[in-house]
Formats: sequence, structure tokens, C-alpha cells
Amino acid sequence: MMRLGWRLLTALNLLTLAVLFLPLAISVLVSFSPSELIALPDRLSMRWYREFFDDWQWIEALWNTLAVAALTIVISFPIGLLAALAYMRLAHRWRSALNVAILLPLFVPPVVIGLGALVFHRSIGIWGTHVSIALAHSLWAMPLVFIVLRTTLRGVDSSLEEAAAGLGASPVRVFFEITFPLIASGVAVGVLFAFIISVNEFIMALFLANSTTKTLPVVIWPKVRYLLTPIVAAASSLVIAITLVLLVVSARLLGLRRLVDAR
Amino acid sequence: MTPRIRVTGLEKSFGAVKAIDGVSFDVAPGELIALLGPSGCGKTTTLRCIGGYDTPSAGDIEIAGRRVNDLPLHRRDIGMVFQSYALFPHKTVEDNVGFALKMKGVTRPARRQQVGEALELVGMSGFGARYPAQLSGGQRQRIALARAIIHRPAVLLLDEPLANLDRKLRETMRHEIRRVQNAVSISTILVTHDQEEALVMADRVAVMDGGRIHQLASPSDVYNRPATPFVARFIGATNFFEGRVTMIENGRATVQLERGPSIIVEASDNTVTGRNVGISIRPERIGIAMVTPPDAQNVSSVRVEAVSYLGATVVYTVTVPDGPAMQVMSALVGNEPPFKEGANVVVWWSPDRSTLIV
Amino acid sequence: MQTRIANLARRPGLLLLLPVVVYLSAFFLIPFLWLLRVSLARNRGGTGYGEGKAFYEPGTWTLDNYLQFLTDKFFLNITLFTVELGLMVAVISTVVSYALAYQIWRAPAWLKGPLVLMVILPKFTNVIVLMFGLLVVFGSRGLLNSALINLGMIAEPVPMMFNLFSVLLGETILVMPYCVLIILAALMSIDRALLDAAGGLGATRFKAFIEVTLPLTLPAISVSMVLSFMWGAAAFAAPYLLGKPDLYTLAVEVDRQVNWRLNWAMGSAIAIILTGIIAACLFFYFRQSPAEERR
Repeated sequence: MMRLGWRLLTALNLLTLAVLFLPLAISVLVSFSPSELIALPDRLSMRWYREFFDDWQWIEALWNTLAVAALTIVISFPIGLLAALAYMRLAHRWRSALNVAILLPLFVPPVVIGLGALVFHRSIGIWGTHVSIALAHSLWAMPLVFIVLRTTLRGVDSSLEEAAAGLGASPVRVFFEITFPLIASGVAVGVLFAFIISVNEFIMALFLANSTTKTLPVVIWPKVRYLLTPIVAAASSLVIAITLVLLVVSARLLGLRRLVDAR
Repeated sequence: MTPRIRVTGLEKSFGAVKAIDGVSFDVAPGELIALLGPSGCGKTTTLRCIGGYDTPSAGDIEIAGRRVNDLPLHRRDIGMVFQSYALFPHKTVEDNVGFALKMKGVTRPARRQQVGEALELVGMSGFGARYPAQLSGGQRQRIALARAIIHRPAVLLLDEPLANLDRKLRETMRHEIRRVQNAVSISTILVTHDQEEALVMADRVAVMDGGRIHQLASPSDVYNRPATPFVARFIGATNFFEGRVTMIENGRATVQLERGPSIIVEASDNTVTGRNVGISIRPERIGIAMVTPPDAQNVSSVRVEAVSYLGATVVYTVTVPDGPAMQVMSALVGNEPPFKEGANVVVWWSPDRSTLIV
Repeated sequence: MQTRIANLARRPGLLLLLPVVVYLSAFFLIPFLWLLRVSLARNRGGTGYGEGKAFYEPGTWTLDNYLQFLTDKFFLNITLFTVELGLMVAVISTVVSYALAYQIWRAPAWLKGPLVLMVILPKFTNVIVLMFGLLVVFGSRGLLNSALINLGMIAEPVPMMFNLFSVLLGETILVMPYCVLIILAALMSIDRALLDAAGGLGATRFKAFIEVTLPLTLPAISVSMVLSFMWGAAAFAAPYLLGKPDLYTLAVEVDRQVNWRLNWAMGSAIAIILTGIIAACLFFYFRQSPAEERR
């Protein structure tokens, strides 16, 4: 009886994992198809990637995506870092207030954030720029940077910072000599999260991009519905590839941690 | 000589709780003072206020004649060894030890020589390239010490520096720290809850409780002449009696205990007839025998109620008929304790072995 | 003045907070208030993409948008479906996630890492990529249908996309990774000694699960339900890409009003209502069970 239940559970979970994971794997496979049709390729071809890089519209979208993601890091990282540093210095009851305030945007539907930004950014004249999109993306990226760095900072033994200060380091030097090296892995993860959020977000971008600042997801979006060709898969796969490369790089950076944890 | 450190009327409150309640003391140049007390007595808070890690609510801290209350941590000229050592895990031993010099802008080649000297002083030459994770507890302790004194600070603060070491190592490190401290002749404040550590290492011991210093005196005075009942009980074991002074004669007071006999003790200057006092007598200062030796004073016939065998010594719990129980400790000459439970024996002690606490 | 600066410097926490306060006020709070304002303005009507002009009439105050929303059966149906979808997503993704998290928890250590990675990897990719992948697999000319036809199990493609099933599937996939992580974290924090103790007292694995594991993970289950309801109710991509007009949600309707009908005032009103539904749900939840206090 027990064993049967366990097997049924296993079967259910395998199905779940397949449904979670297959769409991803298959859209990558399809991008290497030589044919016009959406089908698993019988041989691998770079046709759709060539077409992607031959088309200025796609290249512009790729450029917009990277520019917005970079700006998102520039905006969300310092704000999130300073907020996390502030959090560590606050009394308990203020901490939870700060937490709620910072995490709140994560629970607001992206259409609401996007539309709010649309009406506001238009009135202050930044609508349609990369900065406008990055400012909206940062509403999701900054809380993640904050959470990651807050967690990492908690792991830093405060007596290390006190020791450095007692040995003559000014607060700024304490940060750069002691705190920052110790949270380097968290910094890497935070930056990565900000980047990934921005590269993949498309609903806010949909409201905020004009015809020259469309990001990749915004360009892909209508084509999925109406013009289903493997070039969409190629574009999607590029987004996945960028994300994966960054994941690997940051995993390498995380190697730093080993040294610290060896204590 | 002007003191290196002068603390006057120091107070620190956390909300409604007073962690320190009026602490004052001086530390002479080269002197090592131990702040000793149970956890929560305010010793660590006192140390953190002196170091600048906490801000006192009231009172003054002077280092080398200069008031430092408002000086930020990094400008105070202080070396500190933390209980956890707080070695920077991402820096080598050399960079850890040389950190204070780096902060002063000393170049790496110039640092190298001083770091070498400091490492040699603590017996850690040749460990410069290692990371803290590659060191044993005792080695980390030595590095933390070297790091704290390399910039020749005016003051060295030690916060339970030996608490994380095992017993054997602790005994070695007591002498090592004292040796290094003497070698650089630096005024030092040691915070500890371990009375043995305080008595062995310190020139003077400040016994603290409830945010106050109960007594600040040499180790032998703290042990032999406790100033308050708390000190008597906290330092070592003691027999503590309460009674009333009935007579003072030739510098000796006769005290009638609440229950039992009267006792003769050395009177202090402020002993007054009719006053209620406490008397502390250390168990090992009490003689025990089958018959009363000649010249013995404060003799009582007692009954042995319990015998605790401790290897080198034996502790008897004895009761005076109609009187209090007390503990008597004696060195063991033979293999077995000479008196068994239920034996009737005599105990005595001379008046200068006990302390009158007003 | 001097002392005030000195005071600030002594409490650097406040200075560090300045950027986040400024940013959230300027680019979160103000836009939201602006949105509220626009929802109370009269619509300009569809003409003209004037430079810097907005598609509402500034300076007008009216409740028309809300009144229209409340009286039009069309909007009512969308609202009902939105809430329904949120509830369905909440239940389905929590149940499925619990099953998965439970087995990951019980899996041998070497397998845990890869399994968790498989769960969160979709979260690191684009929503549209996932929807696209689903279309490729489940579409009427998709891989699954072709395979079934080739195997001779069916003659005609089974329509699996552009219905409630596909919308639920898509939205659940988007929400699930979070639910798995939340429940897995709760499971991991259970002291294994408790289960050993239950076993020692004669409980079967199943009994131990019902008596010990499940009650201890109840807070995580409710967090998972609330979060997946919120995200399910805010669903946009799955209904739009994998659904059809009678499966559209409030979020989709916001986009249609704003970007297609150029009725910003109405779009804003719907956005405010959507936010209100989610806020009410959150408020209700936190009054019912202060999850943080239980921990």
C-alpha cells in the first residue's frame, strides 16, 4: 500500500517536472531547426540565428534589452545595497516597516506598475527611454537585491567590522576593506538577479517602450500569437543563453565563498 | 604617575535597564586590570564603552589624559582582542596583523618588518601567508593579540580572550598574554568571568555585579579581604555568617552570630559596637582536628555531616550544635580522608584569617 | 544646524535610507497616485497620438469609469473569472508543489540540488519563452499531438491549447517554482528528530506525515496559497497567449483598454480595481493568520 502511494507520487512529480522543464528544453531545440515549421529538428542548423542577426529589428531589440538590463543594475543595486546596510543598523520595529515598504512592489501586478509608470513617465517626459523601462524594472529588481544582500550581511560577524574600526579604519574603509569583500558573493547574486529580472520582464516594458526601445520580449510577444516561426525560438534561446552564461559566471564568483566558509 | 586610562562615573542604559551604573577606576601605565563578574554584570559593556563600540549614557573616559567620549571608534588608539578573535577571514595572517598600519597609510614593505616583529613576539613567525581558517584556536588567539598591539596603542582591551580555548591551552595562553603585555608594557583591561584567570593574570581585579564595581583590589586582597558579601561569595567558596558586634578590644571585634557561638575577628576602622555585620571565612583557612591544638582561637566542637573527596583536597561539611553549617577544606596528606561522616571533631581559625564585612 | 548634521552622522542608518525612500516615493508611490487620479478623469476619446499628450482629459473629475465597470456585465464577468482563476491557480499549484517539494525533501542529498535547479530554472527564463514552449508541445500541431497521431492513438489532434486547461497550465507553471521553494523551506526546517520520535512511538510514515509534517507546514501552505492567488489573479501572459477572449483577465483588459482602445482612464480604473482585489486578499490573510508571528 505504502509503496504504491509512493510510486504514484513519484509518477505525478515526474510529470510535473517534465511540464516545468520541457517547454524550456524544447524551445531551445526548435531554434536549431532548419525548417520553417515548428518541429523537432532532424538536423541542427544555425539558420534562424543567422536570420536573427541579419535583421536590424532583432539586433536593436537585443541592444535595447541589454541596455535596459544594465541600467536596471545601475539603479537597483546601489539603492538596494544602501537599504540593506541601513536595515542592519535599524531598530527592530523599523526593520519590518522597511521590509514591507521595499517588498511591496513585488506584490503589485506588473500591469499596474506598467500603467502607473506610463502615465507618470509621460508627464515628466521620460517615457519611451531605456531609463524609463529600467526605473520600472528596478521596482522588482531592487527588492531582490535587498533580500539577497540583507541575508548576506546577516552572515557577516559584526565584530569583524568593529575590529577593523578599532584598528583605525574609518566607516567607509571598513566597508571597502571588510564588509564588501565578505559580501562579494551576495553582491554577485544580487546583480545577477537584477539583470535576469530585467532581461525577462516584458509586461512593464510593453507599456513603456516606444517603437525604437522595444526589448526582446516585447518584440517576441506578438509573434508568438500570430507568426509562429523558429526565429522566435532562436530569440528566446538567446535570452536563455544570456541568462545561463551569467548564472555560470556568478557560480564561479561564488567560489569566493568557500574561502570565507572554511572558517 | 598619571593613569593611562581613567573612567569616571560611567553609566550605560539600554532602555530602562541600567547595564552600568556609575563605574569609576584608573589603570596605571603597564598595569593589567581584570573586570570580573557573572554574565550581565556590566563588564563587557564597560569595555565596549572604553573601546568606543558603545556610547555611554553618562560619565567620562580619558585615555592618556585626553577625554575620548566623543572620539569615533577608529580614532581612539586602542587595541582590542575579541572573544571570537574577529580575524578577517578573507585576509592572510600578515594582512590581518598589518591592518592597523595599513589604515595609517604605512606602505607594504614598511609594514612587513613590523608584522614580522609582532609575529615573532607572539611566537608565530612564518605563519604570515596563511589564512585564519588554516590556524588552530590557540594560533588565532596569538594572531589576534599581535594584530591588537602592532600599532602600539595606548590601551589594550581583552574581551574574554580565552573563553574559546580548551583548559590546557587556556593555562598556557594566560602566561603568553601576560608575557607579551609585559614586553610591550601596555595598559590593559581584561574582561573575564573566570576568577582563576583574573587572579592569575591581573595586577588588580575589579569585581563587578549589577553594573557596579564591588571591589577593586589586588588578587590576594580580593580573595582574602572581600569588601562585600557578593565578592566573598563570587570569588572562591566561602563560609558567610551574619551577626552583631558585641565588643571591640585591641583591634579585635567579638561578633555574636544569629545562631550559635560568638566569633572573634579583626576589626576594621569603621566597625562599631552593636552593628550588624557579615563574616567571611574561607574553607581552607579553617583548621580541623580531633583535639584542640594549643593557642587555637575561634574553636568550635562540630560534627562531620558530609565528606567530599576531591583528590588533592577534601571538603567537610560540619555543623556546630545549635549553630550554622560550614565548609572546611583541608589538604590530603594520606590517601583517604582522616575523618568520616558522623565524627566529632573541632574546628578553629585565627581572627586574621576571617574578614569582617560591614 | 551643526548639531543636526552631527546627529545624522551618528545615525548613518537614516542617511543610507535616503535613496530608497526617494526612489520608492518618486517611482512607486507617485505613479500609483497618478494612476488613481487618471482613473477619476474623463477619457479623451480615441483620437490623436499628440506628442506628450495623454489619453485622458486632465483636470476632469468623474466616477464614470468605476460606474461603467460596476454596471457593465462584461466587466463583471472578467472580474469573476479573474478571481476564479486566482483560486484555481492557488489550489492547483499549492497541491502540486507540495507533492513535489515533499519528494525533493525526502530525496537523497545528491539529487536535491539538481531537482531544485530544475524547478527554479524556468523562473530564470522568459515568461513568453515558457508559453512558446507550451505551444510547441501542446499545440494542435504540436509535438504531443503529432506523437499521439503517429502512434495511432488518436485520429484528429486533441485541442489542448486556447482553453481553460492551457491557461491554468501556463499560469501554474509560472507560479509553481515559488510555491515549491516556500514549502520546501518549511519542510527543511522540520527537525528530523520529530519524525523519528513519531516513528518510535508507533506512527507509520503516513501517520507521521498527517500528525507531524503537515501541521508544521501549514503556515507555508497558506503563504503559498496567498501568493499564488495574488499572482494567478494578476495573470496576463497565460490568458493572453494561451487563452481566448472569454478567458481574459482584468490584467489583459487593462492592456486592451490602454494599448488598443486608447482609453487610459478606464484602463487605470481597472488597474486600481485589480490592485484593490489583491490588497483585500492580502489584508484578509494577514488578519486571519499573522504568519510571521507563528514562526
